[in-house]
Amino acid sequence: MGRPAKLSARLISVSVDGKGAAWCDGEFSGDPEIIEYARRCILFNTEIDVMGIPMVADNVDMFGALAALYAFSPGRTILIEAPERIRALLDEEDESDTPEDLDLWSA
Amino acid sequence: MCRACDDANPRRCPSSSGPLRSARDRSAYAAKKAAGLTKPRRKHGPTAGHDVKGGLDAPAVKQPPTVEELNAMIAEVQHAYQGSVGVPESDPEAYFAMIEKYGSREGAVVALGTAIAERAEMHAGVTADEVEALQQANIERIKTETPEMTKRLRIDETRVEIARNHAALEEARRAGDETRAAELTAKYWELARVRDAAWKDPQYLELKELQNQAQNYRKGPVGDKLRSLADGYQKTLAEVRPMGGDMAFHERSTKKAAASFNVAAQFYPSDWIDASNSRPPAIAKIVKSRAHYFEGATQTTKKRKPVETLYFASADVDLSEDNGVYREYIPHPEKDGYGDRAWIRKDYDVHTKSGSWGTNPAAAAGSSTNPASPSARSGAAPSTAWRPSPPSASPRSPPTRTTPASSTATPPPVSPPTNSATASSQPSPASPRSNTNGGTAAPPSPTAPRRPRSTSPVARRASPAGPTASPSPTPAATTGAPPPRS
Repeated sequence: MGRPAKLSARLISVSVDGKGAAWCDGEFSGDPEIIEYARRCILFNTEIDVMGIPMVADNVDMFGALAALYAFSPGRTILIEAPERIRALLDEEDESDTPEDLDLWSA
Repeated sequence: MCRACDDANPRRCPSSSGPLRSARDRSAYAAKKAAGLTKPRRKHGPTAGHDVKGGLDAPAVKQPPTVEELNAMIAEVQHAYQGSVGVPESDPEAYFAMIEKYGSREGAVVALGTAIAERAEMHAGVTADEVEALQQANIERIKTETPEMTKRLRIDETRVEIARNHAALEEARRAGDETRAAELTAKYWELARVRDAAWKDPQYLELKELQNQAQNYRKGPVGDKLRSLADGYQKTLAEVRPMGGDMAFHERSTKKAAASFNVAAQFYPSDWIDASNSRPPAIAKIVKSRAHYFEGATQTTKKRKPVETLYFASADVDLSEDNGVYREYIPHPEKDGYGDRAWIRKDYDVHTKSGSWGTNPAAAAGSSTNPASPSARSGAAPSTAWRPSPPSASPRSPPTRTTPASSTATPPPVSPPTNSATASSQPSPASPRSNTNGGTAAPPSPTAPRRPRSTSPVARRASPAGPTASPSPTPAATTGAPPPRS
């Protein structure tokens, strides 16, 4: 399998303990166990906590696809490649974790 | 079925459309790349230098962490993790320092686990990669050598020839050709010798043993190395946290199950076991169906005990004279019967089968009663017990016969005592006793046996008129006290 000539803007790839999985325009590929788990979550519209952001697993929406890929093992999933919108969302969420906010939580 | 394969109604298969195929290819490539990027690499360990070529440029092998380093790392990660979940009086700065150092919370935990694994492999003297490589080498050797061995020893050919020989032998026997049968029998023994020689071939046996070891991870060198790894992990975890302990099980637990669980409990932290022991004891059983566990379930033990009844009698009466294998009277240590004497009556159930309530120990030891006798074993009431008269002998009495005097008009038949058990339960003539309600009853005469309580169906049948027929029933009729002496 050669490298595709054109890269899609809607491509998400993750890694779980050295096993890779990816989603591109509605198509999942990669480790069969992760993909099977993702498809089950899509079937039941499972809500997954992706880095503190609740998302509903979906096959069409890229945020839902991200949640489906995270569903197998959210704590050990490493996001390798994602569209800019997803990265911006996660970065934005990370920026909210300032020490001041944590102080507010603890108070 | 894919419609592209249907000739009658041809239609292009949607799975082969360009966009979908491109998307599938892209995702497959991305997944492959992601798997390759994050493939776990073991950088250090006791034998990590095998793959590193020697020389001046060879990187130094990192030593596994010490116990102090592990404890410091655990404390650091725990402290930082509290800052991440907003625990009061936590340090948020530690969380950001951890994120900067390890990348994420999960990365910190993974790094900690890797450090523990390195120290465990140091204790074991072998790495998990080595065990995996050894197992894989064994599998490859089996795959390679088994066909060669089978061909060299002619195992398959011998098996086929034996089967053919057996079929021909059966056919010859059916046809009655004894000469042919004898010839085939001799050939069978020749083939059997070849087969047995193959089975006893040292290389064949070695390969078979290797195959057994590959299928059972507890045997052979691989099993030994896995055992060493498990012990190394347990030792390392015990260095940073107390491990193991004795589980407290319920007294009715199966010893084998409890011992088996205690072996596994050595791999649990001690505080977990202490927390479990602080709860009601669990019961360990061996079941053939699916095992289960209920959190906080309390085991109750049901033991059959003798039925205890409270009796009151005059102070000058000693009810212990009636002790036998069926019952025992014990003076009550505390209760006061307002001038009377309180007794505890224990009714025993004498059976030889299991689950019996037991026999009165005092009577079984000292009494001349034989509990094994048929009459005693049956548990029947003494023959002198009160029984209602047969209908023919005592026809239904009119309502006016509800007085105690009329009750004694038809005395029940009294049979002589048949054994010592019934004799010992006979009340003494001078031993008036009270019923369970506490009311003192008249002393029964030797010829008039005791009468059971009125709540029994027998007693109700004895007074069919009942309170409605008698405008003023006497206390004796309602309480079931024995009739006065005539």
